[in-house]
Amino acid sequence: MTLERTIQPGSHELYFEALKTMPLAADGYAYESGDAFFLADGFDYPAEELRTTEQKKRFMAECKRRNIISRSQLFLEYDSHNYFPKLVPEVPDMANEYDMDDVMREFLPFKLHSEVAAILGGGRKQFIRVTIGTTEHARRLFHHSLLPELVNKGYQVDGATLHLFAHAGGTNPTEGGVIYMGSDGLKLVPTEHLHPEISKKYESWFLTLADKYHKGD
Amino acid sequence: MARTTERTYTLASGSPDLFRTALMSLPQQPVYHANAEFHADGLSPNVRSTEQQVNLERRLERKNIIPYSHITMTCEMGLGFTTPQSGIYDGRLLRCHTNAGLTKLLSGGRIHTIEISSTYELDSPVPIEFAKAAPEFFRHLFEAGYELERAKFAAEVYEGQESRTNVCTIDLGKIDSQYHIYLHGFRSIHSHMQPERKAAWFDWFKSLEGQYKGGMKNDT
Repeated sequence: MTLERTIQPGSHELYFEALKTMPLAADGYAYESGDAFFLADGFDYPAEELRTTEQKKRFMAECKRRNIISRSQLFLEYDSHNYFPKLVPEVPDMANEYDMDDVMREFLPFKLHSEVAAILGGGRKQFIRVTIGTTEHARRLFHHSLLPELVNKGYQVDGATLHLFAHAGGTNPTEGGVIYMGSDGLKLVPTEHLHPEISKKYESWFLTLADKYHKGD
Repeated sequence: MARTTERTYTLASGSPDLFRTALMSLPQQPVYHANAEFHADGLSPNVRSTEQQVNLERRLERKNIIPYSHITMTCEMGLGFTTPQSGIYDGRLLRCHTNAGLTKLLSGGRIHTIEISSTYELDSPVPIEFAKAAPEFFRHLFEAGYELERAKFAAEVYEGQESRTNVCTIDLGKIDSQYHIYLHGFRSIHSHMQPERKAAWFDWFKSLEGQYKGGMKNDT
């Protein structure tokens, strides 16, 4: 049985404050692991609005104005002492994303793809995913160092999924429930296995945020 | 100055423009392998001492370059140069003496090293695509402040060749402050290479020789 609570609407401000203020590793009151997602300037463009050449041009121009490499991505993973870039495509392979006929029609003969040119010019990654390490040091480093630095560089929290330990010093990462940030807002979904003391800590944290941000019923 | 050995034509110049001119004027001839390495603002990540490393990182910081970052790009069939399939961030990124590696990565610096690496199957139509796509790509690289460190191209000797053991390669590399271009193997495959292809490469080489006071001597 789970008791799900939600704060709506979701926003960068809510998620950033949630990540800054959530109960952390002290006395084992910590989530076990998770992923957090960031967008440069919170700027995104739905794929369905990138169909025409004109739309793509506007999107590219806006990215350039914001010093963003369009559609670029960076994954950061904790590795023993620090967050380190993981080997992933800088930009998803366009051949896999678009219909090949469209690619051929649009980009041949031998036109340099605008995203390739954008990479050469440098800029911020549009999308960053951070896989938070499972140690106390990894969590502290994320919350106290990497998170403020990302926000300082203009990144906004776009979402997160954090798995809760059931009890202090617990070993099963998903047993205690989950904290979710995304299009549906901020959700706290504890399970009945979550230790009452830990549950109380997270609920207190959640209610403080709800007082400030919840606009729903 | 120019020098000719049995199988190699050499052109050397003290002018960094040699490489730019050479790449921008590559003959429209098929190459079945291409490999080249560019560094942002010509700053090589290969340093020998801690002092050199500190100096390098200070310069990278000033020039908005992500230290030791590296991507590889390829020229694909039907697509020309495509977005890189992985970014490599050398461990030195997080061990910068100036502590600026990750910060520069997040703030949107330029990639330090860009490598081109393309190899094509026998009878692939791609080799000529590379030659067609390369000048525009190189132009973008130069405009973005990248300088060539080294390059190697393997020319397709003739249409439908059954193997590529008799290679004919074009090498560009820096030695100290000299910029060198070598043509290897042109003599050994003298009788096999299609005359128009060989002429195109030699014309390119001679043109560079004329502009940069090198010299290409007849190897016979």
